[in-house]
Amino acid sequence: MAKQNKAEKNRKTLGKRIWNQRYLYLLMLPALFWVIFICYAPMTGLYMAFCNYTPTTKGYFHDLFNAPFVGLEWFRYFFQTDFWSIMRNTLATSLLTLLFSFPVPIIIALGLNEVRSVKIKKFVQTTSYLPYFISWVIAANIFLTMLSGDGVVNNLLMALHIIDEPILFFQKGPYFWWIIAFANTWKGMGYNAIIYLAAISGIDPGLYEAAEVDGANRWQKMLHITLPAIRPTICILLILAIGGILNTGFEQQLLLQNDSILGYSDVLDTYAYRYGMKNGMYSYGTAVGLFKSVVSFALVLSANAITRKVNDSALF
Amino acid sequence: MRRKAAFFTAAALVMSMLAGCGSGDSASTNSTASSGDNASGQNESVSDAQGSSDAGDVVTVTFFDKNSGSKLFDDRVAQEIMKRTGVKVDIQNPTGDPGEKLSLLLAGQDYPDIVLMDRGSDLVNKYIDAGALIALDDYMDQLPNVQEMYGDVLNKTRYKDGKNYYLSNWYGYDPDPVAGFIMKYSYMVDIVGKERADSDEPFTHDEMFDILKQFKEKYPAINGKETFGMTMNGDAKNYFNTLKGMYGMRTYYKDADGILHWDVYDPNYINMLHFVNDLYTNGLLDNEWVVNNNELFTQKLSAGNIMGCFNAYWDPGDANTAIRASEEGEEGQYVAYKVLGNGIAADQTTYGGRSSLGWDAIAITNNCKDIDAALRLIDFCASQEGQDLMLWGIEGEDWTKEGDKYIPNEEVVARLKNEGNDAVEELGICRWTWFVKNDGHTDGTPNRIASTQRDWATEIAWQNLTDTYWDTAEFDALEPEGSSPDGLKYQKVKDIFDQAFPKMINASSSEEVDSLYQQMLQDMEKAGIADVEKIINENYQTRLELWGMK
Repeated sequence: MAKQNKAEKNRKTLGKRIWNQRYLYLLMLPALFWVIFICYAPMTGLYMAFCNYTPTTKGYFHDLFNAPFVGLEWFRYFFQTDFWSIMRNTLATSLLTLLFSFPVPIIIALGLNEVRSVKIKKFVQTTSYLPYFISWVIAANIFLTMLSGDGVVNNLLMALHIIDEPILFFQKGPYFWWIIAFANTWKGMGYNAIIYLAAISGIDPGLYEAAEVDGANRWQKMLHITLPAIRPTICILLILAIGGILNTGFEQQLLLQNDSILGYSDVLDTYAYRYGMKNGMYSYGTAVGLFKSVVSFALVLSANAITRKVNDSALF
Repeated sequence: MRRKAAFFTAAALVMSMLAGCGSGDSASTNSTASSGDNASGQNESVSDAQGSSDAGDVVTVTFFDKNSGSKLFDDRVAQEIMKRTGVKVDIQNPTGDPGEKLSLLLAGQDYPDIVLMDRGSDLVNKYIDAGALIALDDYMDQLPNVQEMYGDVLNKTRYKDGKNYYLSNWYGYDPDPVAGFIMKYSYMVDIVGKERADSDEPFTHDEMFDILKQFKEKYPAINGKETFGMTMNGDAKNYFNTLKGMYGMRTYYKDADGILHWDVYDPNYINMLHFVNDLYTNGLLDNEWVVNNNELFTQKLSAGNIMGCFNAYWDPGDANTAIRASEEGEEGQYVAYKVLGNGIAADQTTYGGRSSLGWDAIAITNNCKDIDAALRLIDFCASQEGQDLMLWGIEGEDWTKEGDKYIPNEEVVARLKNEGNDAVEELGICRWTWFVKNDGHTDGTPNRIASTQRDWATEIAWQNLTDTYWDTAEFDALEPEGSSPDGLKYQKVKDIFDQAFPKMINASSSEEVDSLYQQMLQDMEKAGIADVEKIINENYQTRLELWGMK
């Protein structure tokens, strides 16, 4: 009896609370709407990966739920045929990208923080940020031209007598991974550096002053104050980067690849696009996409768990 | 008071946000996908209201044209079409890859009233199988001009159930040549002399090899850049017409029993590979051909350090325009020559593969609400009157008629020739090319006004590429459907070929070509080429039966 009363009271207070904050809830409504209808509702389409979907004119849902169920057939075909080479390319490109694109912005941010001249600081910041705004279509043609047989890079290497014959960068499979990693880093470094710079500017200047009184030099200040202070930011960006490790890019591969190195350039996204969208194998494309999402989700969770263990901050 | 103010502010914020979403929706619905699903019901009524207030009782037909780029149906010819038919045409542009867009439209059943798609692709069958296209047989009495103009073509474009679901575009016999060895004329004169360069006698495989070799020896570098004999556009992959044409190969290899096989099984295929590989190992083939996209390709040809390319004679058009404008002038242009593979007679090449059933398919979908209006538009455009309007322009302004004879306005022809796309955009002539019949008029004039005057490069193509025409129609779109397990195998086999081809061409020796070729055949067998070929042959037999050829 007492329990019931308590529950009633709780409910009452909950209702009361909601009523009291009704304007805030009203403001939240569109966001709720968005999450339900834009983020979750389309996920019904994932069922496509387990059936053989062919569109007819009877309506999307009719087709989807009347399509012959094939279970894990599409996944099996994927694992039996292209899985290993596609996965190898995806991971190789991503890990190389991570290797460069993760530390480079931190170094840029730390360096910029030490630069005294405002003009130089602004200039470096702007130029490193600029590539972020260049579309991949243009960036791809820049790379194709620069790395061509008579392009700038080959001419430079030949002039320095490092090589005798031009290197055909876009016809040697594994080079492609490095090119993509470099291109990704070049494009994203300025953007990420800004996030770190923002974190650095939030550090209490008193800490630096105290360190100076204790006789710390610039290097020590950077190592013992700046770096630890931006550690949470670094962790969060690392979690995000690891979660996106299968998101190794799409446009850059599509625009830079050619048939002679397709065995090295084809990643999960371009593969799903080629089969699912270009050739209308909706179910197969969905299966590959779903596989990617599941693995990505697991990666985010594990990266999050690891960072929580290692230092007490984590994303969720 | 303050609470009321807070409530109104919150409500206003929410409302404006929802309204923002709503209006954003209707804008995008109008420009991309329109009719069909319940969600856009509200938007439909909006656009309908706009339509009726704008143009009285004019009906609107939505039209997806895979070739429309970002064009709107707003030029003077388009206005005239709408005036004469009383149908307002709302063009829906492909954003990006048209094939992908059509796949998406089909998946969401958002396709417009009329769709124009690639006839040779699997998409047409997918649309028909899905029941998205309406059979035109029941409406033939409303299409008198279509029946008259298309004739037997209608018989051949029937689906396997015997019904006509689409009308083809660019149909009928087209004598215009296609592919060849596209060589820089001034270099040809330089190496073989003017008389030989001007003659229509084909070159043999050995002669051409020798010419390229001499060129390379004479000019190791031009403008400081290494020279190459030939190049190809690796991105567009439009070199097969030339390479296969040189050895008389067709879409599929047909063995003595009439069974179709993948083209790589053609006994001449390996010879073709050896020819191109020989060019490569001798430094006569651009070693970066596989990286070439359209921009790089045009750039390379314009730069003048490449003697020729494996293409259709119109492919170097942009490069030729640039060369004509430079000090090199006319003679620096790339023009077409015919080269015979070893053991191939002059009339056995297959450089000029064209489908008598056309490039595109145009069909009415089951989303079309006003079929009468769509039929009216189609029958007008397909008629001789409609064809003349689209391809010759407005009578009395762009051309006149004396008796049966068509007389073009020379000024218009000159503008189309010299200003290219700008003139097309402004004049509207050939800006929309629907239901095009390749045959010219009865007085001998061609179907397009610009073709009344051939430019020099075209003249040479017509002179040199004789006896190269063959009809690809019987082999079009025989491959298995995309969404079937065999479709997956087909795609896999194609992937294997796409990756093996550049490796074989760029192999370091001819022994390596042979071993790579064998390896490719093995991989293809493993990927299930036998199942794919089985489907192709089944489809082929069905087609022969349908056409009464069996």
